Amino acid sequence: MEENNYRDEFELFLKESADDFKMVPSRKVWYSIYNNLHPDRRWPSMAVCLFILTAVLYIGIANNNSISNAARKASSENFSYNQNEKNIETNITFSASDYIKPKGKKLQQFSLTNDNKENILSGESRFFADEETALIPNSNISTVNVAEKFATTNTSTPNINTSVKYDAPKTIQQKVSILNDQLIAEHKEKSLSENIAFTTLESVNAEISPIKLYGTEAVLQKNELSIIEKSWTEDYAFRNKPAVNKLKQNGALSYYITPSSGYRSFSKTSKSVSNANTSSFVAARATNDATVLLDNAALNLEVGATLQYKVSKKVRLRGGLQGNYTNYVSNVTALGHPSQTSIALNSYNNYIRSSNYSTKAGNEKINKTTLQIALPLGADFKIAGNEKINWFVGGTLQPTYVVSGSAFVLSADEKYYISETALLRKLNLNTAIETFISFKSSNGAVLSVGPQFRYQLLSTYRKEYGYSEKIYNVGVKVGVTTPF
Amino acid sequence: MTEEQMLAGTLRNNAAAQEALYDRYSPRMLAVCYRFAKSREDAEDMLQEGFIKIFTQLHQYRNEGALEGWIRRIIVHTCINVLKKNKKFSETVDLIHANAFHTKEDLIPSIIQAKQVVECIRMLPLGYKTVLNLYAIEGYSHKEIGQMLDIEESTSRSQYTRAKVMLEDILVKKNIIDKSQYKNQYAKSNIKN
Repeated sequence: MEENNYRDEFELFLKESADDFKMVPSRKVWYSIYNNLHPDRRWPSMAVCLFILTAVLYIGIANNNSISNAARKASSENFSYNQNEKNIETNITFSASDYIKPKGKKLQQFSLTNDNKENILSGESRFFADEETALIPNSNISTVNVAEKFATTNTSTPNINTSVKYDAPKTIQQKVSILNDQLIAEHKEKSLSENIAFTTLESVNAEISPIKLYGTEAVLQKNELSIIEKSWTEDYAFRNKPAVNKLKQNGALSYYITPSSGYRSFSKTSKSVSNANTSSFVAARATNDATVLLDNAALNLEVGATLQYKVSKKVRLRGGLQGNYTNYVSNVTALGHPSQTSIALNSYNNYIRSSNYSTKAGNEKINKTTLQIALPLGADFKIAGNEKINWFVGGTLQPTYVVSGSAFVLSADEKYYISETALLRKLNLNTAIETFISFKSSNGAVLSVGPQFRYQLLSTYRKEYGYSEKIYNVGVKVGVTTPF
Repeated sequence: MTEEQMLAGTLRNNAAAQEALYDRYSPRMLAVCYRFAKSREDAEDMLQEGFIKIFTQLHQYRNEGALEGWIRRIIVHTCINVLKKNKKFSETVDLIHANAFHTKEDLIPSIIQAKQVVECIRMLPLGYKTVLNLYAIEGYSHKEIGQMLDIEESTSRSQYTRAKVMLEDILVKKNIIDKSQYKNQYAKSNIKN
């Protein structure tokens, strides 16, 4: 007796001591609970994060483009300034330095021939490197006024090369100087032998050549000009290539719609669920047995838009926004009055709820639907094709938010359906695989058609529910892709 | 905010009411979790899971009995579910080994008696601790404990007996209780009652 009394006292002592003890939980526990209870309230913060991320990316890309444009513009202005400068200079003097300055492009290109053209063009960096050096005013370079020289003494030859102290690569310098010497010497000889006068000042002012020729020399000049013009045009085009916008070149926007047929797989996950024959949960199986569920497939729909980016000839990535409507129909029997039943939960106790529908197959139909927003992220791989027609296989992973839905969950005794939307899982994950043929139209738009299989990786219901339901869809995806 | 207001608001999924309910009961419930858990972090995880259940199942509360008792039952079951996922409750500790088990005096804090007692309970092996918590403090019968932990009723009884002996020993050795004094004290209170 004493022992029993003591036992009670000891237990009382323990209970009192334990009840007196309190602990204050950290605040993060409440935040976790709050986030779990109100998952929808996380979307504003996520949307703000996405917005900020997008804005930062946009600003980054825009700045990058503007810098490139500014650089191009500056380069272009510099070039035109040099051109003008050249024109101004050539109106006044015929300078040896003008021959070798890269800013005197036309004169420099004068030395280009079909043989050495490619070499010169490929040496673009050298040209630019030289340009900086050449643009530095060199007081040591003596300017030769060709106009004066030719006007005063037709026999005198301007010794251009000797006055040049330009440290450009020897190959270019030599080529320019040799060609200059040859040309001037030839003109001089011709003019003397044929007694053809030429106006030296005009020749200096000439756009293409500092020396203007007449008579038989004109033919030679014409040929030379065509080479010069061609080379100059090619060089100009080479140096002023339009900026390539990679996003425009490789990106595309795709819109699609996928009507499909929706089914479900169903299995129990909890020990609290009675030992029903779960293999009987087969969609679209017709029977009058009360423990067998009769579900019918129904029309499902997927609509979305994605951005595509081609990373190689065969692979392209895509991501976008998509809306899903899932639906399937259960044939049930409507009850005359609600019946008390319970929902099987994975926790210790079951939900006590009332039901209006028996699972026994009847004339009544209940639609189990969800409306979802998904972010499909995936890739396509080109198997075969040509410019017009291509064959792709692709796949996506789709984080999904269930906006709304109607949930008719199975009771623990599997005899009733209970409407309980609170058990719908808000965040889910879908995956889709597809193959399609794409046809390119004359206006650049691409039409794609092909079968798609989509599978829901997580159960439609929360993990507390004793059953797992996974929706899968088989449909035909039709899409239109337009380049940027 | 009154309890009725908290209940009504929580049933409407009102965040302020949910927070008020949480603030009112979380300190006591964390103490419950702490007695079952290995660490404070584990206890907070149990508390979190338990309160999510409470908020999602509050519509089942029928105003029969105190709300705190209903909340406490959910919290206790949550703790048991968490423990069951990680450990078998058939685990027993031999008393010989158990004597060696509680010789680490520095493990026992000496702040206040309630905390000391709780810390001593937490020093018990998992099976002992769980059964003792459920039987002596939470008031479940051995039959209920057997069902909850998937063990025999007799196992629950034997675990409890051993747990109690071990705990007494710890408490006496740490001078938290004087066996004779506290026996007399409770004997007097029983006579008064």
